[in-house]
Amino acid sequence: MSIVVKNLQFTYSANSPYETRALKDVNLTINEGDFLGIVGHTGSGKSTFIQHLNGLIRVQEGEIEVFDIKLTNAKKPKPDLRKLRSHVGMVFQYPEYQLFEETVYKDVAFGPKNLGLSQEEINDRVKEAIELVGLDYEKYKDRAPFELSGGQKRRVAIAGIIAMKPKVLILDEPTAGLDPSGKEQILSLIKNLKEKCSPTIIVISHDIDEITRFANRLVVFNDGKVAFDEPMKELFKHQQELVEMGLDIPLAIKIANELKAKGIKLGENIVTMSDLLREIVIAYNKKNGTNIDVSKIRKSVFNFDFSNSNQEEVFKDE
Amino acid sequence: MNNFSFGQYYPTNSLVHRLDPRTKLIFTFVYMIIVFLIKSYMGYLFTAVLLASIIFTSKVPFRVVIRSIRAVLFLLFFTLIINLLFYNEGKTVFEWNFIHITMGGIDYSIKMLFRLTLLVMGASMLTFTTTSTELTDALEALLKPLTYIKVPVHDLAIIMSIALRFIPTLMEETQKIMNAQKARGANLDTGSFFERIKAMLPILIPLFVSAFRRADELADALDARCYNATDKRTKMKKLKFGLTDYLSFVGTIVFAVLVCLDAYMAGGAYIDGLIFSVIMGA
Amino acid sequence: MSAIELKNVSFSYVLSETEIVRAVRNVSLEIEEGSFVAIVGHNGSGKSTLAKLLNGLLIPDKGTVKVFGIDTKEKSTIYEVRKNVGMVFQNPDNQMVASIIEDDIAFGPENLGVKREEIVERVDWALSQVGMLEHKKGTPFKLSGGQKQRLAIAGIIAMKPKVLVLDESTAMLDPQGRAEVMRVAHELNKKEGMTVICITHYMEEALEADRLIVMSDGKVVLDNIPKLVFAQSKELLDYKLTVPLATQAAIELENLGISVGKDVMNKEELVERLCPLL
Repeated sequence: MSIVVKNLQFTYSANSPYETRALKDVNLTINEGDFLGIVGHTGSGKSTFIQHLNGLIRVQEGEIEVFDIKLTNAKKPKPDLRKLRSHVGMVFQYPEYQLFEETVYKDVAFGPKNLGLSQEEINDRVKEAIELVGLDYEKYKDRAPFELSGGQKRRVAIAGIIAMKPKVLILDEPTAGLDPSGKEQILSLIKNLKEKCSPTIIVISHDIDEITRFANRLVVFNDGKVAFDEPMKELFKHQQELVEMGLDIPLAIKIANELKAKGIKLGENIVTMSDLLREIVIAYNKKNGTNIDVSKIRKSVFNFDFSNSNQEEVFKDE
Repeated sequence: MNNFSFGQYYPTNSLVHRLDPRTKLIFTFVYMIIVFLIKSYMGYLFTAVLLASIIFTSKVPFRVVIRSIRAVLFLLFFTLIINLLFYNEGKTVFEWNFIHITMGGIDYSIKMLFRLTLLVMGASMLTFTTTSTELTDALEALLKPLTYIKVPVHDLAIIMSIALRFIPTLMEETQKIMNAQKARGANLDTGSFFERIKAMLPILIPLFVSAFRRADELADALDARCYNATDKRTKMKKLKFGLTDYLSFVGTIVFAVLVCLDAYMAGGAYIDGLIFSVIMGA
Repeated sequence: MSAIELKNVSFSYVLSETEIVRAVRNVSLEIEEGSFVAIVGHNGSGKSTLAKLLNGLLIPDKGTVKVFGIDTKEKSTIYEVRKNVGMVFQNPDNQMVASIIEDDIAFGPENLGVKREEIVERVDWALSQVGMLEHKKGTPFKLSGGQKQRLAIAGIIAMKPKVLVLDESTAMLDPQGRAEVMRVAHELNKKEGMTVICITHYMEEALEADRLIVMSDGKVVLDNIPKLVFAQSKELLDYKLTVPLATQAAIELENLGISVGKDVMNKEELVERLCPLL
């Protein structure tokens, strides 16, 4: 278990006309290896929640345990925030707006430096982080971040977090504001980070079609509470309730529903577009006596353009 | 915005809120001058009662107004210490090395403390009860005569309006940037004065970059909405004085006269001494 | 009648003596009055620059932009141009000038010298068009992104423009907010006959337009009804764009030998094509 949250409650601007209860009794356990997606509409409490996880918001009521660090509303003992933040890395929305140093190297080194690491260690980490986000170290280390393109800046900003080698990486709307190819680059980057850097990843996203492509567990926030917490494939058994909360469901499910409504028999467990295509192929084979191989369906149909290319190719335009 | 902050509009539907903003602006102006003129405890007491009754009428909770002092607490404390140390008149009550505290110093420091507190609370009452748009409109209306000597009053008013409008936005932005840098292990809370200033750079640079980006977009947005299209700009809201405004004017004058009388007549000296000794006793 | 006419328009940003970015290159376009046009293109394709050329925020280096026959180069009539072509930008926070909603909506008409009684009417009209009338006396600070952006639209349409340009106005919004803004834009187009030009990253939004213009490297590379543009998925990929999700699924099915046609645009069409096959 990486993170355990118990009975967490939080109120903004208590006792003023602007008082809002952002979190109402949140309980959640995040395990090592989770690829967790958090969904919920704006104001559902998800941002307030994640900011608790690395101590940016102080616990008002309830308890959080992040690895061996306990966070409560007690003044003492003071939690080791530096250690906490090295465990839990947080990439905020539009992280490129936080860049401030003159060079890419210095900016990425900011985090590791704050951790008090040796110069040698900092060097290694910066180099590793810059390469992990798909930028050529030698070519970019001395460039000014402000000269880079939007997508590159965002990757430098992400490098600044992963250079701290967090065990849990939280990303808030990592693809916001990017064009389609920029989105694909960031998504494949996140998958790559899961393998090579942070074993536990939490992503907040509004795009349900996007989040179902990688998450293996989905948590739904609604009105300050955890409304659902399910393995990715199970969540959409509650599709009726999700729609009532004003949340979107994956397009593949919508299509499957309509096909089923027209009397077409499809298997269960359709969530992603490749699930849907698999079931369609099976149904098609059955009806037409054909023998189309389901394994030929590409894993992520969404990015049929980028899925076949490797990391370098994805970034080659830069 | 995490917390309710100094200078933010506090919506209640009170008599004070409904006053013409020009009235409130003029009153605040007179009030500030007068607070500087007050010489006696009697005068402070009187002004405090007046302020309290305004706060009561405005339906803004007292603790919210009190909280506005918190923003300047450091300043208050600082002036208190400085005055205690460097104002040396009257009987000495305490002496140690270079520290030399006198009765006059104590008297003066307490008065200064009252003065600043009344100033801050009075000024924040203006912003609690008046929206920034009203404030801008009032300022523009009151400065209107200056347009005859080619002062760009309207532009100044727009600048002020936009500045006020962006305070919460930039505060929110600052909070976001601080959080992001804290997440990268930035230490903003401890260290010496210079260390802290240096630690602010990761906040200030992105904040400035963002402010310029916003300014850029805002400039386009102003153009797109035909700012400066014509000299014959119209106004949706016309400011209008009502009965309460006229009554407030009378009240303001009475208040001013009373305080001036108090300041320039020795009559209150006895009561004043009494109040001072009560304070010292406390 | 065409609302906006661009003839051989070019625009470059001069960054330094040696660095010049040719953002828009020799573009000629006509935007029909009353139409709903979407413009897509990768980051840096020149689409936002193009938007700013439409209401004279930028003046072309070469060529002419005419708005209802008025050349945007003419300084004396520039406000006539801007009054007719209202523009909403990306970040709703950066477009609001006043702290009270009705005051903000009134800003444009006030600048134009509209009579007081009419401003009051226009503010109510504009706010009800975007479904925000009940927030009239409130402040924008606690509103959602979608609500704020609808206010930005209200602030523009209070000037009664004939053309509404949305310059990536949905980019910072959540799906709900995006849907709200697009619904308002379509309603203005249908009910009020307003010409809408919508610049976006979202292919699903582009789908709903009457006409889709694709930009790449400062040039118009595709310009047709959305269905026919999205049928050219290979070209779109070259321009670093993608096609709507349903179209992607259809293409994959085609590749596997299940012929649903590559011109499927949305889930309804996909379902319709699949039904007889399954």
